[in-house]
Amino acid sequence: MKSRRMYASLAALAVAGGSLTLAACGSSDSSSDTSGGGGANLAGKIAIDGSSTVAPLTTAAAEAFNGKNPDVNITVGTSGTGGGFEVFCKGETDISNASREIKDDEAAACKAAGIDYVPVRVASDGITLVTKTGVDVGKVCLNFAELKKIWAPGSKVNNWSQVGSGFKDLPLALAGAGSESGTYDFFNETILGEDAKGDVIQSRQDYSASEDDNVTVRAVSDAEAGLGYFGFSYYEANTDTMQAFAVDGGKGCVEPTTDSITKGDYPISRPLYVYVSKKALARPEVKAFVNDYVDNAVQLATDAQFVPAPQSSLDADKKTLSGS
Amino acid sequence: MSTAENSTPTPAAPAATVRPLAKKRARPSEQAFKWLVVILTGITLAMLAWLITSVVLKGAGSLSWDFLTGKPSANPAKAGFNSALRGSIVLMIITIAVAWPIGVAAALYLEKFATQSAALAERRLATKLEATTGGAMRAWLHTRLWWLRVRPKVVHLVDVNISNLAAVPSIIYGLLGLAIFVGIMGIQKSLLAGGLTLAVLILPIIIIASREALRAVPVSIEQGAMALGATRWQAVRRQVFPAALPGILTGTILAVSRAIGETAPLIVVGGIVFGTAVPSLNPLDAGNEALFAMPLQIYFWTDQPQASFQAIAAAGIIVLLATLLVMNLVAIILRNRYSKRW
Repeated sequence: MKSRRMYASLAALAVAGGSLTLAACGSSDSSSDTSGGGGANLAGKIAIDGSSTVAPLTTAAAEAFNGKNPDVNITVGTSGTGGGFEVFCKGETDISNASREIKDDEAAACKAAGIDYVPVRVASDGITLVTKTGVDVGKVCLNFAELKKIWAPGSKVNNWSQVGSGFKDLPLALAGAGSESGTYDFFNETILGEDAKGDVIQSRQDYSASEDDNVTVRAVSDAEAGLGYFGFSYYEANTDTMQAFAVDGGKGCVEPTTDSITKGDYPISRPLYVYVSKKALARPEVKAFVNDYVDNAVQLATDAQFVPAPQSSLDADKKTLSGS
Repeated sequence: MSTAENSTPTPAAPAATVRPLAKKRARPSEQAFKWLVVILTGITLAMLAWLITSVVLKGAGSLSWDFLTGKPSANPAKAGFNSALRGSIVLMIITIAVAWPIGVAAALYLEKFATQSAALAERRLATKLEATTGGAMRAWLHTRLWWLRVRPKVVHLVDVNISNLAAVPSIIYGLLGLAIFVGIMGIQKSLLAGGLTLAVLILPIIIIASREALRAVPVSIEQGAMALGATRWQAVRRQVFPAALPGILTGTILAVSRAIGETAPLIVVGGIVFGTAVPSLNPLDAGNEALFAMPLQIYFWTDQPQASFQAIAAAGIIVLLATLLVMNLVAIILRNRYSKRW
């Protein structure tokens, strides 16, 4: 008897679960049925993966494109620039977001699989060096030699006064990107360069490292006179608690601003790319999406609080796209 | 004095040591330990309360019907949680549908059949072996005899491995899922691949919990049934299994609660954070639906620079916590309702 009652209530639970499922079904199926409004009548699937830094911008582009072409289904994943290229070169994705250029071994993998691609620069980013608002470490500009001294492997610098003359006697707490992040790779490549064997020198590891730049933001704002680095968008979102250093890459001190990063005057600025498979580009929906993305890149970047790509490079990419 | 020593050691001491219960007072060390435990419990609860309060304060403002029914968006004001919520629901359905039958069957076998003494069966087989002359039949009987002998060792090996598997980091299961389900079986990176991966992830937990539940049923129940003429299978099916079911269900739901919060293995099998199409809730379509899940979406949002994304991430966490709470509530209700005492 008892067990029968138990089975009965299990069944009831299953039914309840099922009806909940159905109810949830009903509420949103209407949204996917609003198709048919697009003028070009494009349809299909576009699979995108790669850098989580570029993902919000590509997401914005996909959203805008989907508004005009509701039958095109676009997905965006965030398995990182390297992880993205891995599946891209297997032909699993059509477009790969990248916060750096494709590496030689990745390009070789693509070539081996017969995947030909076009890199399209969609935005820019500047690695911004920051400390807490209101802290005076003695200087407002850091040059590459000073940065190298701080971040070099084995460096024991833990006070601003050790960085060079003109800096005050303040404890220096470091924070930055974790080793899985493209930001980390790019920072090391630019500041520390390569060793004799041609490998990028890895920075010291005894700092507060995180893949999540918001953790770095917090680490810097908690430190008395810390130094942290992250993408420019994170600085823009935290200008009330952070102040940025100007950086001297040999041509004088340059403040990180939208303008100086777009132009490339700011010495630690990098382009952000989407890599488009040529095979996918032959499909009308992919071609339309990428063209739409490039046409609206500046507006999309501004809206999503990215630093736009220079118009000249956008024009050049547009020409390449129409050629291929 | 000397007479007392010589007399039998019938204890005169107890009169001194046994005190009336009412007067018994905890020793200082006991008292201290009690307070230590209370304080530690308090710290745990305070941390939990702080966590929940901060999340609710941050996210409650963004929690709305539009948030629950909206699609993901690059604009935090428009971004919704519907795709992730649906993805997680489908993942749970697939995970339970796959892991539960396999896990419970494995537990039943390991606990009720594999560990039974093989002496009787061995003797029966031996007699049969003497009576048969056919070569193929004899070989078959020999194989069965051999299995009965090695079975305890195999079962022990399986035992140890299951316990170990429960402690393997979840990302390893992600890689396993990628290799087996996507690589070998050729399932595309989808909710189905994700659900199967999570099913493998929680299989050891379900097996362990189910075995614990089966073990908690007194042997006398099973023996009683068998004494009345039931076979072992009948006794297990009609008596032991129903009695153990509440415990098995509790264990299952706790295991599924773990699966619902997993991020790492899903990233590996192709989890996504944005898709223009909302996934269908029908688990039969899961092979074609993009792999959305609540923890993935939350992780992506917390990683964004804008503070408004942090707020909707917090709202997402509230939804995830609410789902977990409901699942655990079901577990508790089931347990309280059907648990038997012997």
